[in-house]
Amino acid sequence: MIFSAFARTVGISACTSCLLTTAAVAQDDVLNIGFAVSLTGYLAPYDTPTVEGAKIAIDELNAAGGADGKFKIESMIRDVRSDTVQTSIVVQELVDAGADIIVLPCDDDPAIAGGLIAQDAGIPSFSTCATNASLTQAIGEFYFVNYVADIVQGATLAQYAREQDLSTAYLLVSPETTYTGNLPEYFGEVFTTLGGAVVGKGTYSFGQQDFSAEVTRIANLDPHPDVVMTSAYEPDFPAFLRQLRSAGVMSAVYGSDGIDSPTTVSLGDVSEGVVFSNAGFPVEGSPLAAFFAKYNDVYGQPLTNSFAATGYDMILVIQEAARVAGSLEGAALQQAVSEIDGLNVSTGTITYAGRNGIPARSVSLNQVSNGAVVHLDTRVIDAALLPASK
Amino acid sequence: MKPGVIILAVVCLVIAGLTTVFAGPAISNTVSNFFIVVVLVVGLGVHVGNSGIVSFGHPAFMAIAAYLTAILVLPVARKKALMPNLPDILGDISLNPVVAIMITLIFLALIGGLIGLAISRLNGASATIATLGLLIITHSLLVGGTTFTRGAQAVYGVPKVVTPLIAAGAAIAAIILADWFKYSRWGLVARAAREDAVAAAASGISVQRSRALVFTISIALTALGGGLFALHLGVFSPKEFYFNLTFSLLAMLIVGGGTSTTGAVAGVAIITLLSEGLRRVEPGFDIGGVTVPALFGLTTIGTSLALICTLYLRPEGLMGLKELDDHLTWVRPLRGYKRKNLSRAALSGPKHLRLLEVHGITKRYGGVTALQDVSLALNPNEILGLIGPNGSGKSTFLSCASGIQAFDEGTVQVNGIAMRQSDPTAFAHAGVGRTFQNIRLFSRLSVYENVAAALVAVPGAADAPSIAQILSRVNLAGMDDRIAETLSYGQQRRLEIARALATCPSFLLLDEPAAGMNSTETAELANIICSLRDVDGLGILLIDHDLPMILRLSNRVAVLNEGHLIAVGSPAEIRENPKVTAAYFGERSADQNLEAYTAT
Repeated sequence: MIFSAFARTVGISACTSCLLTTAAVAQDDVLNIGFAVSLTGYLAPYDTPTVEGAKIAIDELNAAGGADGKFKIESMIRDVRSDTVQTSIVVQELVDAGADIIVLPCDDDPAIAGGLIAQDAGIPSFSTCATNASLTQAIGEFYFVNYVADIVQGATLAQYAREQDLSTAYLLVSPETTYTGNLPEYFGEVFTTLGGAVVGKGTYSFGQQDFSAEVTRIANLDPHPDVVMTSAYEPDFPAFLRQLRSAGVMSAVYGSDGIDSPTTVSLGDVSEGVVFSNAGFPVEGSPLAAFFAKYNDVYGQPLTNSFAATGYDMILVIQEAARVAGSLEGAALQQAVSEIDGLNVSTGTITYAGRNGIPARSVSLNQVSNGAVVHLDTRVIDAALLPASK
Repeated sequence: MKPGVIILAVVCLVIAGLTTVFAGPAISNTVSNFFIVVVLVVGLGVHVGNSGIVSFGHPAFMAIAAYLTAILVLPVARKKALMPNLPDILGDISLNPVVAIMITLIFLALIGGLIGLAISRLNGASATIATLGLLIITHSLLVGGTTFTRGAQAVYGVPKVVTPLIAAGAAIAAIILADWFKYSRWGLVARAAREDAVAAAASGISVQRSRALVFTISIALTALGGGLFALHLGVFSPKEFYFNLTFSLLAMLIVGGGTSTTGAVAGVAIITLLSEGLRRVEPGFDIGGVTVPALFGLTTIGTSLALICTLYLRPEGLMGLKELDDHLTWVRPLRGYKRKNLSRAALSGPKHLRLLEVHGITKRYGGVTALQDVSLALNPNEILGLIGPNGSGKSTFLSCASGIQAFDEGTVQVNGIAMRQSDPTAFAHAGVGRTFQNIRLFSRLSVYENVAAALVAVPGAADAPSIAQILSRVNLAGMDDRIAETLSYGQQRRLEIARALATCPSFLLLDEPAAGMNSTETAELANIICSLRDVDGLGILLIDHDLPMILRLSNRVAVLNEGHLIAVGSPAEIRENPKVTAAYFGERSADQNLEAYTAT
């Protein structure tokens, strides 16, 4: 969910003017997508690129005659300012304005508040990148996770760790967000299921700087754990990693997409060998590499994260649902989305069929090596491996 | 009920009624939210307005209220799934939302009272910082206290029962309560303490108790808002109640005017209208063939600009200190304040013991001894002049004798009872009134309210003078509605005396009451002081640099020099006392005449 792209915020706001919209009037042959997203506030670094990517897909599809060649796609983009109250108001307005699909912000509370309104109206909704799998229970069958769920990232990392013959793990969590709190726990559960053992767990607070207590606990384990897993991100992750290495703990360190940032690479020797997951790695010649190039053409700046790609993919999912359903009726679209199986998208494939709204989608595993990020593998985890969501 | 409140209530009802009849769910949602924010900002305004202390901590109480309400109303099955560790007593119940809100209000008022007692000990910025601490602590507890919360995860599934009419009802209740409290005797003394805590204490007001009460009422309203927030939105997590909310609530209060209930409502209305307007043009639009591009962020920029403009152009907010009633020329300000009558037992107390005695007081400031073993008694029916060169310790003596200042050695007894140090409120209740060298009025309150605040704070005999009688006594009759800070200098001095008289004092300590007055004003003041002694039988301690006046009015004169009491006697004796002349002119000029000096 988290991508440390705050530095890009300036670029994002410069680009919001690209998000020109026209007032949409509900028509039978127009697929209205209502974006209740955060273009300002703390969620803007995630929602904005997602909308940018979606916009590319919408323009492409419209140029080819619309979704399924017959439904022209119109977007109604509204800023909910990273605010839960505002999200519930805006979603209601978008529903009233005839939205066929609702796109929700990248965090649990606004996604639930807005998703429940869409659920009541019988309209499918997608969160840009809220990754808490329990939201499907909180909202209902009309809600779909779009981004890689925490549970999927955690499980994928655990599976890979076991393949590397790592058998003991230490988890570092922060209860301050579900992302930093639950993702390592999911890792731990799958790691245990696959025959590994969790030998300890530490907690930290955002921005605490001094990790000596946590690091000492790890260093005192004899032997040191094979792998230390955390979904901490900047500024906590670099601080933790430096202190861990200087305490002489040379265990493997696994992280999630929160550390998919230039900072991680720039740490030098300290970050050498760090493994992390994200939604996709633009391997040369892959669809994702093609999307990265496309993004650069449209927005005139290189893409540095995977949110735009998952935004693009979301529109492909919607178009596929419209194609299969053959109508824009809410229940038909919902049914069609939930039956999508192995759809090719820019980041790989995506499957909603049999997944209760949490898509099985490709996760890339990457490693820092010699000051660069090296792609290890891209895989779709087996649903049977996923633990119960928290 | 006051007309201004009725007007606000009718406006709220009309908006809610029109919304219910004509508007769709989106507008209803916005309107309900508006009224809930009105409850919250009015609740915050009760604290900021009556205590003068800005609070960053109110969202913390709102959060506790939202969680408590949610826990009480959530269906049992959902609750078990969300918060499996909840104690059975909470886990197995699912209450009616009205009952839940009631319980929430009472619980939060109790918490507010307890925390209010602690915070009321702090002044100004320290109190504000303490509220900031409360916000951060509560946030951490909500994130960490996973028995009663879901940690950082959202609580959801709270029944969404709030309609525009329900929310408007709550807003009206909040406005009525806030307005009633502001003009109640408790609100009045709190506002007096807001203007000048020291003067309020010296006027018999229990500053801490009044602040704690303000905090409690304010938290109760905040709890109402927090509970409704949960029942309106249906989903929330701790981050909803953090700095963002603190600042948006405060911004609305600042734009509207923090010391006015009408201002609080106006602030919410302005910011809501502004952001609702701006967010509709944000996505861009076409006008006459011209396409205006999308400009997301406009809403935030607009509301921030409104805040900055307010701070720049109208720092006290749109309504300033005024309520709607103050703009309605046909509405007379409230005049109902009455003194509490002393019990019969208290009235039949030992009259013969009326005496203010200071025994052997020593007061040191670091290495400097301001007072050295000074003993002096003030009798009824006398004016005791206290003179001495600048820096001789006169004002320090008066502050020690009125409980404002602590001292290092000695005792002060009023009517034979030893007084606790640094407790000016107790001194006022024991019958010691005072004025200040640098005028300390309740500057932004009216003349009437200045006197009324002291009058309601200290009980007195049933036949003690009314506010009108007191004001006419000091020649301020008919000036009731003037704001104290707009009075002339001489009038302000006399108003300070009036305020002291409202506490039914036996002793009146006047610190340079004639300073800065012209000769006419001084003569007028002298008449008042004499009549207080001769008619009312007060004992008056009079400090002034106008020696002819002191020597003319006083029955006895005491002289301080470098912290030592060097002489006490009749004016005639003091005139002749060589030590006194030496103190004023130096040893070598001991033959100079004090009278001649004072005549110049």
